Amino acid sequence: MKNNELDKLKNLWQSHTDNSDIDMTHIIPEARKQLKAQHKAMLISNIFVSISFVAVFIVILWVGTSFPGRSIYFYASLGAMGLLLVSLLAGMWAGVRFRNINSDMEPRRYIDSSIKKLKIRHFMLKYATPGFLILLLLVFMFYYADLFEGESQQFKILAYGITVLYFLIITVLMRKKRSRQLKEIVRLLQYLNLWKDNLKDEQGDPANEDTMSSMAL
Amino acid sequence: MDNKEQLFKTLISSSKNSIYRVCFSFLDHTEDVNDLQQEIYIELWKSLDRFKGKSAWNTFIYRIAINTAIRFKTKLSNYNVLKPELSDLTDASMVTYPTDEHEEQLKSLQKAIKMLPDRERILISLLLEDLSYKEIASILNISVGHVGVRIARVKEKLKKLMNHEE
Repeated sequence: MKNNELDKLKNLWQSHTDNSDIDMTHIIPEARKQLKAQHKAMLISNIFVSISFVAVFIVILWVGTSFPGRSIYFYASLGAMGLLLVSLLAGMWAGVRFRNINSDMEPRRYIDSSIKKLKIRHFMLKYATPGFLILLLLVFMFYYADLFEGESQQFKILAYGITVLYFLIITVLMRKKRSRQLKEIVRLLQYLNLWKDNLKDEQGDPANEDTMSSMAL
Repeated sequence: MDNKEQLFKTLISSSKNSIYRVCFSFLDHTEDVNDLQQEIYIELWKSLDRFKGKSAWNTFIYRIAINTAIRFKTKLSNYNVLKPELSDLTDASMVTYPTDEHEEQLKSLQKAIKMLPDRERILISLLLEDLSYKEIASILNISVGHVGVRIARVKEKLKKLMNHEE
């Protein structure tokens, strides 16, 4: 493409103008509202997650020390519950960290941050959610082992059976929605990775930069 | 009217056509273009306080426009991420064009741009906005050499597409 051809295209392109009237009376209040909501959400999330972290440890410690002489299963269920809540809160932290990605950052960094955010969501959905359910089931199992000590075999089978069935139903109900969400995340990751690849520097050599910038259009 | 509001209005009035064209090159449907434009203005307002003068206003605004456009596209459901569909271009809800010769050429250029992948659409629209390689490199934070290589490829593609159109 020659210089004059490109100039012609530039003129042609720039002849397409926006004739719409921008309604500033709507845009500025809307932007102010969004900004305020964003700050509020960020503040609340941070406070909520911090308080939750502290509360979780206090409660676990309190329960652990308030019931002395219980079986090993009781403490195992408590440990599993602690692990469960800590992982849940860690996931929430990650979500809070990536909630606001500033749109004025360099597109490459913006894309990287968006990819990280999506990868966390992908991990949470694909591995953390089933892991969470398994761990929760384990908490119940350990707790039942302690609680139903001395009960009849029949009662135990019934209690365990109903709990496992409940978890199975939850898993089946969640599966469709989860797989749809995962598919959507994969689609977005694919799109953002294409952008990322495109913005990856192929020319690291400064000598090339001079050549390229002076290259005739 | 406070200083921020004044600055915002000045920035919008000086860049609204460029923002519009970038949105237009990136999306296929008029109603989406208007929505994206509005989102970019809102993002610009929200980001104004973060402008520290380390880059030019131009760079700042284009970065916001590109990032918002990328995010906007990811929100469009069932969008084919790998390549634009030709069928999209003949959709009834697409922008309509007047029919004189100038408009025909413009239509042909826009149609060719819309046949490129998103990344290349942005690149070529920045070039057609008369930005230098250096400015484009600064907006995207990539080397000037890389911009040169990419643009050379996109221009060739665009030329072929336009010739094909004719």
